[in-house]
Amino acid sequence: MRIATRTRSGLRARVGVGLALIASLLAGSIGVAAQDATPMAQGATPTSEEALVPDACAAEQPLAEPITVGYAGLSGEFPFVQDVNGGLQRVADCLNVNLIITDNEYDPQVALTNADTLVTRGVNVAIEFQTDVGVAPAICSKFEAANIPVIAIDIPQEPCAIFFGANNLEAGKIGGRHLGQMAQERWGGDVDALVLLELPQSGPLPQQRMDGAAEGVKEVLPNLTDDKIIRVDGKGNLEDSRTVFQDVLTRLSDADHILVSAINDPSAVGALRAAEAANRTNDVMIAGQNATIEARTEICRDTPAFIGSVAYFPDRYGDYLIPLAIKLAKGEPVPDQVLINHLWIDRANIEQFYPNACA
Amino acid sequence: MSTSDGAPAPDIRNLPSDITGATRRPRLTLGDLWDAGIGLLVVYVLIIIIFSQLSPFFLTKNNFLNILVGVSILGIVAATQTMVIISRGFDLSVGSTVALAGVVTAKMLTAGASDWLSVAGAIGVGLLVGVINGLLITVVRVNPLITTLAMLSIVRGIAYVWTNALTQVFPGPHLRWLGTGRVLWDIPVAVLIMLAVFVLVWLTLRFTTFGRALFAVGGNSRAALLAGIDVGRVQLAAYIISGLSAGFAGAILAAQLSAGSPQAANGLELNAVAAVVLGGASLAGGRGRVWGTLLGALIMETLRNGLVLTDVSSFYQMIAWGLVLLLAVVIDQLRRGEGA
Repeated sequence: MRIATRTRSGLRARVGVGLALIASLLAGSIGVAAQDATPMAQGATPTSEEALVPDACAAEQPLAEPITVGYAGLSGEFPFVQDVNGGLQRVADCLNVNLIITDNEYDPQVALTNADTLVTRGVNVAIEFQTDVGVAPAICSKFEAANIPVIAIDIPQEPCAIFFGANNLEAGKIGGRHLGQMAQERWGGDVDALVLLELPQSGPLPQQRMDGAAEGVKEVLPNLTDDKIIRVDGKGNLEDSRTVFQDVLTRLSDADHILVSAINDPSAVGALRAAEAANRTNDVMIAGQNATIEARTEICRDTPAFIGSVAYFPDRYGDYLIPLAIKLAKGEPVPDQVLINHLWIDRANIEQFYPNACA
Repeated sequence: MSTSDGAPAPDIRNLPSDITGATRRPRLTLGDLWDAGIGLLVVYVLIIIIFSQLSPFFLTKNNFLNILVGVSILGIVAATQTMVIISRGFDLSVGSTVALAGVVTAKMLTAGASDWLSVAGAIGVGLLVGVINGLLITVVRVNPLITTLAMLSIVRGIAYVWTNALTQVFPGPHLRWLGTGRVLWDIPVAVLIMLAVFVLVWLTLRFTTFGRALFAVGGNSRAALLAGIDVGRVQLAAYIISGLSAGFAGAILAAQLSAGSPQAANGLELNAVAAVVLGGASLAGGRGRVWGTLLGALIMETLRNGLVLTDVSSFYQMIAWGLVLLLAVVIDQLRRGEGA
């Protein structure tokens, strides 16, 4: 975990904060261990105890008097969000926290209504997971008026919320470095193109993932020039990514060393399907993001073209968030932002972090 | 077949042209050419010429196969949507049906069913949705827009509930022949199926009593009723056919993805309606050309493909897509105004 102190500029500069400083300032302050992800990205595999946030149910004492935490999830349609929801509920139950769960349905208007609901229900702390930064001030004003502290998941809710979530730039770099290393290993560093399957409509934060991927590849392969980087919109899903990558493969009909970094796993698997359909799996190496079930299945299949994915462990978000919410409710000092660990998952370590994934 | 008063019904093959929508004019006008799909064909050829100048990769066999594969799911659904729209209906549930059918395919394969049985399961889902749509519209008399909108939500919801929103991955070898298989001059199976669906729909509309009844019902349902056509049965059949094709398309999509995703085919219903309208059908019913629909779908997919090959941002792609749709409809409207 990487944590920054609460400063005015902290939210705006949530990426690239000195790891040692963050860790030394805040390690243990919310009951979790700080961890630098860099060594993992360079190939050293940590143990699960080192890599993951400790189980809050084991590390924290249940509250004598319960508090109420209101949570507005992004949308129950997304498995990622369901994992977040499940983890929050698990930790809330064992720490004697009443958790009210609402669903923002990926709709800013619903998010506003849910904020009203949480205020009306008198929550002690609110956790917001909604995608539209434009409506964040309106949501904040509701919680501020009711004097309710707010934690934002993955998408900042300025000006009121503590940021918690993905370190998109770093996650992208981890994937990029692994792609670069594999290109070095299999192709002697000779790369014809780096294809970034983006999701531009998701805004600048997730976009950092793609920038990070390009940076990560270049760290390992400094000779990769910008004209070899192709950015396309995979729309973050299987079918559109498959279609668009099919077009890209046509563009790159003479290329046989193509690296692919995708905004998420469905997109990465879509690229894989296109490569399979074109009989060009030997020409590509693909890295995903999130290590969701789609990616884990491909990793278990041990397809050479799908080299791995960067894990976010959404089911462990609760282990960070509920202790953080308890601290906020008690009025104790808290960090300005909490960034999760990201880990590279491939065939070598999948069973360590996802037991029986390949059973 | 007889009318409600017991009198023998006239043979639908002899219906006057104002009921069947098959109009004849003494001389050929620009409007006639547009009606025949020539205008759309010209637009399509222009798009091809422009992109072939802008990208060296565009005018290649592989790229055209990509376009055809890309349009296959939309095409299959849009072909039968043409029948529904000709009968003055709407089927907004097709995208959700494709998703649920894909999930059924994946679940059945994972449970050990054979390829054929899982495809049959997907088609069965489509049949069920089509029957429900059709009965609600023709028997309960609920507005088609509301019925299929509600089914869009219900069917998608079932897919989510059943899968817990998780994509259902199935082992690769299954259905590979359907998803990525190629036959006859290296043509993808999905493309051949799409073309077969278009030919079937064309034959039905052009040469069968049912096809002419669709035009009659859409053009003037009261007149059709008076002419002895069982309007309800014709509409019911149109929705069933639409459901069947959506179910089949769901199995093909699952085969292409080696997975059944409850999020799949989001917005497919609107693309299908757009392809049909672009192809020259009237949302007021009674008019439509299945080959026009194919051209409409091809224009949409070719535009997307060309813009990707020329590195145009996806945001501009959305604008371009909307402009082409508007242009086609405006030209059609102007042509109608001229002819009136």
